[in-house]
Amino acid sequence: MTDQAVDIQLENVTKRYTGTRQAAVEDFSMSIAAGEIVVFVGPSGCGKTTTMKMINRLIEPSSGRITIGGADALSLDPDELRRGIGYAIQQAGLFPHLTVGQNIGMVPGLLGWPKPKTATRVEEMLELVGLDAGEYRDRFPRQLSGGQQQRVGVARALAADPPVLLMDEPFGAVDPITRGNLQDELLSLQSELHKTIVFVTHDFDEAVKLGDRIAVLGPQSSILQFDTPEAILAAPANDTVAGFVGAGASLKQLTLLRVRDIEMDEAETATIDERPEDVRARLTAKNRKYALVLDNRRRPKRWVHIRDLSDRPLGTVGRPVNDLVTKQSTLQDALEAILTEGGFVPVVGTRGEYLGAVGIDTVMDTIRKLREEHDHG
Amino acid sequence: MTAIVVLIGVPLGVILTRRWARFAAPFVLALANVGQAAPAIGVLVLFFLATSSTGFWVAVLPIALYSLLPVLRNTIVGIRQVDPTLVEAGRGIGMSPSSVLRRIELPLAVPLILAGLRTSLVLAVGTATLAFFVAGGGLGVLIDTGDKLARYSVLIVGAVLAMALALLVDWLGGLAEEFLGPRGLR
Amino acid sequence: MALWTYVTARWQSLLMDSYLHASAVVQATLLAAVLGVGLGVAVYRSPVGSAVATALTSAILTIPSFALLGLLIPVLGLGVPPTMVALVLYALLPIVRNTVVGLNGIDPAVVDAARGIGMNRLRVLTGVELRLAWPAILAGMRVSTQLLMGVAAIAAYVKGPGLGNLIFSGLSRVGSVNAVDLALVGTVGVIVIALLLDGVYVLVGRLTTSRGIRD
Repeated sequence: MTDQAVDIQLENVTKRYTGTRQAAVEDFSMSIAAGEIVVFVGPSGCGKTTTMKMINRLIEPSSGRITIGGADALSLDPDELRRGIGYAIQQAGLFPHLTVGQNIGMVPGLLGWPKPKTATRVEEMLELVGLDAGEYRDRFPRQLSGGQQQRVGVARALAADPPVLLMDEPFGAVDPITRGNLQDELLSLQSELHKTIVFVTHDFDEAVKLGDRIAVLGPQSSILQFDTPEAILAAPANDTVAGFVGAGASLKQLTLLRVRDIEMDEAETATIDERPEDVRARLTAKNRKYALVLDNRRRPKRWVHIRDLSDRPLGTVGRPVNDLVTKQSTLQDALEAILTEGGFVPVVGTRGEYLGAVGIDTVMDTIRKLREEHDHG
Repeated sequence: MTAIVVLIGVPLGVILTRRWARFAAPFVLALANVGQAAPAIGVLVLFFLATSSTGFWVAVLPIALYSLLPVLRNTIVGIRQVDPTLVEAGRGIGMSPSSVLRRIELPLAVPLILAGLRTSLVLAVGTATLAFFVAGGGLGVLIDTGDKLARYSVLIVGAVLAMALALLVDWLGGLAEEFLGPRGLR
Repeated sequence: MALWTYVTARWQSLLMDSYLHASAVVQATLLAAVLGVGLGVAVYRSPVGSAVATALTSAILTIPSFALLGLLIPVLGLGVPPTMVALVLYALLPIVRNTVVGLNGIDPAVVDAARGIGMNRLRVLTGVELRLAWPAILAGMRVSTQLLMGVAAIAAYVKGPGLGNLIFSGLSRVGSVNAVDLALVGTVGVIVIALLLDGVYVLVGRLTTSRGIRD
């Protein structure tokens, strides 16, 4: 029931507040493809949030043109427009006087959905973000942890199944571990839902992890570089971007380091003729979401999510493994492979047999360590 | 009269926040609330009837009692709302309980105590206009005379003077709050 | 003992006076709530407007009630009109101030989210902002009610309704046997009603505040 994803075009969008000499956003143009995640990243005060808020017209552009799926956003009624755009923000912005269920059902209610349909939708949404509907529907926001509140915030944004999702540092206020989990969940949601997502953050690591493309923004929302994460990591457009990325030097070292130089992660593995329910039990027991399916010669074949596991054979569910690295691959290659694979890439030996996996967190940790060594040395 | 109020209200409030007297605080606060709900005119008249004497002091005493309440309450609330970590920090660097009280708790409670004083002054001015009912004199006399004799100019002069006095007192109270409060909190 | 005989003998008229007293105060509070919340909503977005509204209503509150009642006699005469006007004016400040403070105290992220998911201004105000500011507004009404109990007693001077009449008749019969009784019954009556209404506020607060924002 997902709507067709739509593209977003911003043409020469400018925001100038009266009484200020400099525009907050100056002549911003960008083309965002349907179904992609674009991350705006930049220092605070650079205008990235302002730019995003002009898409749903929480801030009215002073001039320029914005189209969403070909429709002129500026000629629509702003409230109607916003009901068709999901919106998730830092600290979730849940209505404290309404229950979790009422919060999620708010937009469907505004759109005039019949009550039973809204109720069903609320349950679906809670399950989608990994919260038990029976347990959480009637709770109030303050009875939830920060991470759970963010999940509800995302559920509320997705409730009316909008083709576009705007996210303003939605995971900014939770602890790093929860944050990592929420990011993983967003990615797996996106692999099903294919929304067009504009995501604002000041955390470059988050941008690399989530973005199909990253826009590094400077003052007045000027686009310093707009490209895929790997391209920006490999070749920062200028010193400012390099500074923001964190270390040209450490990235160069990334090409010098090999997979064998770092400690590999362990993926949860399953053999292709294993019974799905056994795999499910194992994943549940270890509290993991993905299993790597190996063939009879222990070669990685498919990634399956715990939700993919039904009674169908393992060889037919999930998605195929497209990219592999060996112990000899550079970390640069590994990073690229991770970015196409989504989170993890399997490491194989000479006969193609599974040895381990490398995750984005491990690579980012390595980059961070290199950066620290670089800074101190 | 203000002096009486401060001299009684603040120490009483302080005592009620000390550990050994804390149990009494809710009762006193409840009593203060009931007292606040009591109509000033009723208290005044009752005091007058009960003592069956008239004059200035018969009016002043109930007014003083009446305006004691805001000061008392704000002292208690003011000291209670001081961040406990500050008290702990004070004890931690080796201050005695009494110097914690003098150098941390009281200074931080001063704004609220002053606000209570301001409230009680305004209340006192308002109650003072009622003093003439018990032959205590005051601006109420002008208002009453003006009304009884249908001389509205006299009534208006009395009322406007009472208003002006109240506003003046409130303004002075505001100034006092500004200049006597601890600087860091301003 | 004389007091008790007095109370039982005049039971009916006492109840009537109490009822009138309470009803005048409650009606004035409700009217002031409508005006005060309206005023609060009108000014809360502008710091200057809020400051002016608060200063103005607090100036009214500073005026001695007896002076205000006196001033209203030439304009409105005696009886119910000056009483109600004075009561409503006095009730405004706590309600206006708490409305403004309550509305400004709302987490901006909540309002941002409400706008962001497509609620219009009116809906944000009625569905989110006022609902969240409600406990503060109710607290303001509670303070106003307590305040009005005393003012209403003085209003008997302008022939207003209520228990103040007992106090004043006690005063006018100074020296007679039941002068003290009259004043005492009037005063205690006001206190009792004040406490009862306060209890009602606690109850109303429980019933009308969402569990999600209750302390």
